[in-house]
Amino acid sequence: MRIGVFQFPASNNFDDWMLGLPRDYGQQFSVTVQKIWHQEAELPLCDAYILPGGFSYGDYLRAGAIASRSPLLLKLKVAADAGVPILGVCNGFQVLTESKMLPGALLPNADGEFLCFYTELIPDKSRFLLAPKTLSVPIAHGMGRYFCDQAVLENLKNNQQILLRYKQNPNGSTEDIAGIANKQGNVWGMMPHPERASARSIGGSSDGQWVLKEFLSMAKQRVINP
Amino acid sequence: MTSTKTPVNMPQKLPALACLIDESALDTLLPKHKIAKDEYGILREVMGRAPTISELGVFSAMWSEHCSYKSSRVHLGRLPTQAQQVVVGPGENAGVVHIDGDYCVAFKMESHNHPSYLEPYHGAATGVGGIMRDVFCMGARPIANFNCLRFGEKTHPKTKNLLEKVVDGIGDYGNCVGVPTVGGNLSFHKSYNGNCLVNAMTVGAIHKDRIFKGFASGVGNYVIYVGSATGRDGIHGATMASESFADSADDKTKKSENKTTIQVGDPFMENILLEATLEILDRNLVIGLQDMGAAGLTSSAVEMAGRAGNGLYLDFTRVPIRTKTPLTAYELLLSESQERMLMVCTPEKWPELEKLIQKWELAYDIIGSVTDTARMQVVFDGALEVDIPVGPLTDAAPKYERPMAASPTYVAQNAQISFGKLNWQKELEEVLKAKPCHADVYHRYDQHIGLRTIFGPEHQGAAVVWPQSDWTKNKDVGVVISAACEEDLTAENASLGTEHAVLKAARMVYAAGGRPLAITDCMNFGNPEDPQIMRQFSDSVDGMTIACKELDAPVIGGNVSLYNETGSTSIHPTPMIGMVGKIEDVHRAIPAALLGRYKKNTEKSISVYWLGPDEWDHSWVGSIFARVKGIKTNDLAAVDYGYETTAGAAIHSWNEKTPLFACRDVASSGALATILKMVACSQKVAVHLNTPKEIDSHTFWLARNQGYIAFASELAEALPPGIKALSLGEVSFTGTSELRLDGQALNMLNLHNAWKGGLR
Amino acid sequence: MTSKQLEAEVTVTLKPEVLDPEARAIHAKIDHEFPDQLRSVDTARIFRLSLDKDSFGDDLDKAEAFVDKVCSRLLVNPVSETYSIRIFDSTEG
Repeated sequence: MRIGVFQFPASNNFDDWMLGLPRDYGQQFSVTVQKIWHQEAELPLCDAYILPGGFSYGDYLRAGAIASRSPLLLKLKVAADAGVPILGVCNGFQVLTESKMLPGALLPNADGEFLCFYTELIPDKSRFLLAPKTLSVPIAHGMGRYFCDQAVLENLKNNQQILLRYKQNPNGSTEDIAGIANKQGNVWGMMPHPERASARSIGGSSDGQWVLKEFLSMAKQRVINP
Repeated sequence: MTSTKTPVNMPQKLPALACLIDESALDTLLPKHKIAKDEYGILREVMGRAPTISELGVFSAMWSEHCSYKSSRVHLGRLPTQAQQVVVGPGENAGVVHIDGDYCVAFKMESHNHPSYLEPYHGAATGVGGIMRDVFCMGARPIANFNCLRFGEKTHPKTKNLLEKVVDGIGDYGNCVGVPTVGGNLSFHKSYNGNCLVNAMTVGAIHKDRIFKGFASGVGNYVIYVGSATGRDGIHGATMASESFADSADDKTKKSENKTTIQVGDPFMENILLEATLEILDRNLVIGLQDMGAAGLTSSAVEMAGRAGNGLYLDFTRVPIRTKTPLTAYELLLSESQERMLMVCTPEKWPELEKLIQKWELAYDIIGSVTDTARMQVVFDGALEVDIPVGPLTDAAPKYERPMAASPTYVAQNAQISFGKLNWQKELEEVLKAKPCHADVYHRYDQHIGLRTIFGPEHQGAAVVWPQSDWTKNKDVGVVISAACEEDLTAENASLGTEHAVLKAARMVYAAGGRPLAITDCMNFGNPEDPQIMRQFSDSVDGMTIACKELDAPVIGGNVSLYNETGSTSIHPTPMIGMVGKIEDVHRAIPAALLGRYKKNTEKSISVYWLGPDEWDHSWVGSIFARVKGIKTNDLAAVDYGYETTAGAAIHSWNEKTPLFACRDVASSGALATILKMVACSQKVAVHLNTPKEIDSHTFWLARNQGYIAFASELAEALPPGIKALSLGEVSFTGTSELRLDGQALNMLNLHNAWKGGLR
Repeated sequence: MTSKQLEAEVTVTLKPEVLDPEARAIHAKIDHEFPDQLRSVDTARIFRLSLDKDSFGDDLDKAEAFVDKVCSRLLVNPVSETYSIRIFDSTEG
């Protein structure tokens, strides 16, 4: 399975995905990773795409705003509409909301500070059937306060689009939302970093695997039954 | 994109020299440039004539304390710099030490004290930016940052704001560039009321055959400017860092506002520059590459030309500028605008290099060429602004053997102190508050980016980083990083105190399961023209020399920051030690604390041991308890290096047999506070402790000692001679929170809150 | 050719229903120092755009339409922000 990882200027989590996906999931999902530089003319054909965290364009204007306007994102949107799985983590989530591939917006944390620590997440039971009740996964963001209006929130709830909630809300997110999916279910965005909690020897938690395995399974399903 | 840039060739005939300075105005010019009268005499000899104003600026910067180390050089020569594991020693942008296979790490610590006091946010941010550039311009990818901070008393009106802004500056910069902050230290003392310290350290991964040293060689090669456009930032920053502050804090803020424009960092640009630089070096496109750090274009050009023994011809009309009003040659020479690099490449490689620079959308131009004149020649606006022989400019730099006061005699005396009946709860809360948990600070730094952080700042011990590199033979090998300074001790005895600082750093490395390889140092002291201060400095160098030799961990680079004084008040001597060590198997690394997340492994109860020298030894000086109580003693004993290395080895062999759940050196906190810090992160733990029979309970739990606390399921089978272990009790995860000391119950929650809330 | 130099000032604010923690903190601080004199605080971000003479001349409507397009394409996130545009001639006193 080929996973494309986007790189914008200052997408500084890019290397983490290039290292982490094959290391932690390479065997089970026979994953190969492909770098996608933002200036490429065509979107390389992949089975799933990752928008990594970081500070694309220095988070200038709004986090994710400038990256989301790059021509390649329009092509990613087409792939999304065709059902290709796409995961945006942290800055990647911000790019997805800025490009309207996911509803809502990500605003500065309620106390105005950048925050980096392990959070307890409550995964959506209907989506993550086998996962434990809470997952220990780190966050690292200054603009992770998920905001949406009441109508969008109702939709998210009714369609079971809320993937992850914080047990203790660190940033003032609406309804403790840490991660959501689009209505189709193939585009995922989240502030916590599952790739950083994928090997127990690093940081003491591998709970991120419950999230990433589910995502990769979705991609694998599509490879088998396109 | 296509090229619009043309080469800069030295003309047959140089333009006429710009106006020379009016030597009748030396009385005002020299003090402004911090050049002493006799230094001007040397300058005159080097030049054979009066300088232009731009040349005076060049000498001022290159001969500043900051760039020339003129007060400290005679002493720094005594430091040990050689060992088998040292690949690059002092004198380069960063030192390099071998880890495993082809994998080495480049590292260095640097101060940004003066700018951070004046403008804490940008001062700290640009400090972090500068040290990262030092590391990556050698071809090393930064994998870990550390920062060591000193502030005035918590109650001092400036402290809160300085702390907030410095931490924001470090976080915003490092987070955006994408380098994890994996550790550091922080403390408060009134000697820093008028001078905070911001010491930043970067560790970068580098291949042993791809260590880059920048040379401006090959006559006719292009000199390229890459990165942010130049503004008026920080002009005379290097000379500012070489002066004391005036009497009142406000005065000096105003004073320097008039003098300079603050440096503002752009971490986004740094990230691009980092990626571009590493790609450039990886593809072997340049001969020379140097960060424009302190004294900007001047020092980078002089350093690269000096290393190659060549000259440079520079046309400053080519320098990209960002100001609305044009800059003068003088300003272009001395601007400390951030995120800029000077490169040298052959005409053949230029098209490929240019394409790469364009890919990363960086500003650039060809600004000059390498010459065989051995002179730095700068033309601007039709005049020859600078024409200085490069060799003599650096070789003739002043070097002082400043007068020193006599070495103070220190007679260590045992101090037996009796406290009568202690209120343990209250005393412990005070101790924990005095050296509080730093979570509020490190939560604002990305600690995990890179997927290499085995132990980060959460454990508040040594950091353990897992390279996971193709270059290592041993795939489990790890880099261990620690930093320490024991300024309570150096204030008493600069030499012995510095030994203890190196040891403290080493013990943290031992406790994590590693062994020390080398150190970088940041020597923060007061005014070197004061013989007492110069004595402190010299003694501190001597102490460091002893400790580094004994531990076989030489000094491979560092930085000296003098003139940290306000009015007549100097900071405590603060020789900050940054240590890099190695662990053979990161999966057996020992944490300095038991965090809740890791608890799944440790459901059963765990025994608590003290491990230390056979003959119990302690001191009150430098213990937090004594500081809180205001107790003064002079019982700092000499160091027994035999014990130190044996104790380190004992921990490792114990850990080999039965993996330790946690291990931490006791040092200034005392044994009880140490144990609490090891469990205080998880509140739901029961701790039952008993004082060892032969030792007075106050002394055992509160005094400073050189032992370790270890959490283990069983005691090591055989300990080496000279080392003993004492069983102290148990820690169990019962889901309740309690602490019993010799049967007496204490309130764990309040202790937890005292420690966690101590920064607020 | 016109001698006018058209400038645009775009003010971006958070929508009223979106919590503005910075404004809240500032409000609390002002209230603390000067009690009972303030009803509310809002923060805003201002962009100043200097428009090309050749493209717009003195056509205010064209300028406003252009700036509005820039706002909706990039400067403003309609989920959380609102904005206002002011076009003016910088050569006028």
